[in-house]
Amino acid sequence: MDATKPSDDVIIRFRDVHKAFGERKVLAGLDLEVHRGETFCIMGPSGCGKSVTLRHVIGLLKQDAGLVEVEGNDMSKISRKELREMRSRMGYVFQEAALLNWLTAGANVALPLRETTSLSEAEIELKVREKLELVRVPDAYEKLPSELSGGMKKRVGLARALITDPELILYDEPTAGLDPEISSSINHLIRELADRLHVTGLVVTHHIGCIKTVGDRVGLLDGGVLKYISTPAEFLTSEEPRLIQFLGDRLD
Amino acid sequence: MISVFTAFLADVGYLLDLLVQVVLRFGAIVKRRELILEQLWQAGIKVVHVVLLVGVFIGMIVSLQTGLELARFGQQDQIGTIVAISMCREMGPFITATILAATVGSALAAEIGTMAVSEELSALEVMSIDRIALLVMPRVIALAIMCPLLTVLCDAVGIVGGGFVADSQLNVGLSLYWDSVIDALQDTDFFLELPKDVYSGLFKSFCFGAIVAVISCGAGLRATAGALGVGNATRKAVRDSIIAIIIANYFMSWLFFQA
Ligand SMILES: Nc1ncnc2c1ncn2[C@@H]1O[C@H](COP(=O)(O)OP(=O)(O)OP(=O)(O)O)[C@@H](O)[C@H]1O
Ligand SMILES: [Mg+2]
Repeated sequence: MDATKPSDDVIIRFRDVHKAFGERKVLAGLDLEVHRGETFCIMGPSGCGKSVTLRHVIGLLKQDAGLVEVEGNDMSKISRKELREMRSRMGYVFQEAALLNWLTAGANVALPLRETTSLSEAEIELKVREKLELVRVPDAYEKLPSELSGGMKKRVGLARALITDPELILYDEPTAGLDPEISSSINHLIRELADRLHVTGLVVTHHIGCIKTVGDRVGLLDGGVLKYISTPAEFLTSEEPRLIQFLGDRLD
Repeated sequence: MISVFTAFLADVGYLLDLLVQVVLRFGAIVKRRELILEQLWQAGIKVVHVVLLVGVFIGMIVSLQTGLELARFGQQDQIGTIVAISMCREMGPFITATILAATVGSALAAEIGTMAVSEELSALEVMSIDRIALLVMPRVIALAIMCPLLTVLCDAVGIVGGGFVADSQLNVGLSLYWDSVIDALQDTDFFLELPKDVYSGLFKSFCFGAIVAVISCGAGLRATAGALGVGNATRKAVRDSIIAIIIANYFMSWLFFQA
C-alpha cells in the first residue's frame, strides 16, 4: 500500500489533532492517514497516547483542535445516528479486553448480535463458536471472564470485536500478554483478515513480530505526533537515533 | 460557593435525566425480565437479614422509649398504636431504604463504577449497546420492587419486637398490645385493602428504592478512572441516596398526611 492512493480511499484521517487532559498534553498536532484495506501499526512508549488516538477514531474521545475524519465523516460534527451506523462497521479490541464480568465468554461475544440484530439464538451460537475457534479459545464458551487467563480474555475480546464482521478494526495491543505461539497465530489472523476480507486495521503494538507480520506501514507516536512513518522493513532498519533508541534490544 | 451550587444543579439535572431515560425504557421490561429477577434476588439476599435484625430492634426501641413516657400518664395501652404507626409510616420505609442504600446501593455504584473504569462501558458504547436498558433500568425496577417488600418485613418484625418489649418490660399484655396495633391500622382511608398508614409507607418505599438505584447507578456511570474513582463513586452513592431519601421523605409525608 503506498501513500499516493486517491484521497477518497483514506478511511482514517487525522490532521493536526490536539488533545490534552487538564495540563497533560497528549496529542500535539498528530497527522495520520490510513487507507482502505491497509493495516497501520502504531508503536510508542507507554503513556504516549496510543490508546487515546484509537479512542478518537471510534468517537469515544473528542479532539480539542484539529480534524478527525473517519470514512469521510468529520467526527466532531457527526450525528448520533451516523456514529451508531459507522460503529456497526467498526471493531475495537480493548487493551484490557473489557469483557462484562457477569456474562460468560460466549455471552460476551454474542452480546453485540443479541442486542443489535434479530438473529436466532441458534445462528448466534454458531457464529460465536466459530469466532472463538478462530482466536483459538474454543473451550472458553461457558466460562466467566474471572475463570480465564489474561491472554484468553484478550482473545475473547478479539472474538467479540470480530463477531459483527467489521470493515475497520482498531486493535489495542492485540498480542500483549500472549505466548509467542499464540501471538504469532493472532498476528496471522489479523493479516488474513486484511488480505482475505480487506479489513482496514489500526494496530497499537509493542511487538516487532506483530509489525513484521501485519503492518503495511508503521509509525512511532512520540511527543504527541506520529513520526518515522514507513514500511516495517524501513522502520526496523532505520538509522534514526530516536528509533534505534526506542526499538533498542527489541530488535534482537 | 457558586461552583458548589452549579455542581449540585448539574448533578440533579443528570439524575433527573437518567430517571427519564429509565422510564422511557419501561417498554423493555419483559425483554429484560431475567436481568430484573437476577437483580431482585441479588438485592434481596444481600439485605433481608439486616432488615430483619434492625427492624426488630427499631420496634423495641420505639416501644421502650414511648412506653416509658406513656406509663407516666398511665397510658401504656397506647403503645401498640404508636409502634404500629411509627413503624408503618416512617421507621420501616426509612430504615429499609437506608439499609438498601448502604448495602445494595454502594454495591451497585462499585459494580458499575468498576465497569466504567475498566472500559466495559466504553465497550458497550462502541458496540452501540444501550447501557441504560442493560444496566440501569433492571436495577431501578428491582430496587423499586424490593424496597416495599422489605419494608413490609421491617414493619412486621418491628411491631413484633415492640410487642415483646411491651410485654416483658412495660407490663402491657400481648393481647392488649395487639388490639391497639389493630386499632391503629383501622383507618377509614384504604387503598387495595391496605390502611393509609401502610400504603403511604409502601408508596414511599417504592420511591426510595427507585431513588437509591438511580443515584447509585448514576454515581457508578460517572466514576472516573484511577484508584480513587470507584471509591469516590461508592461514597457519593451512599451519601447522596441518604440525603435524597430524607428530603423526599419529608415531602411525601407532607403530601400524604397534611395536604
Ligand atoms: N480519560 C482520561 N483522563 C485523563 N487522562 C487521560 C485519560 N485517558 C488518557 N489519559 C492520559 O493520557 C496519556 C496517554 O494515555 P494512553 O492510554 O493513550 O497511553 P498509551 O500510549 O495507550 O499507553 P500504554 O502503552 O501504557 O497503554 C496518559 O498520560 C494518561 O494518563
Ligand atoms: Mg494503551
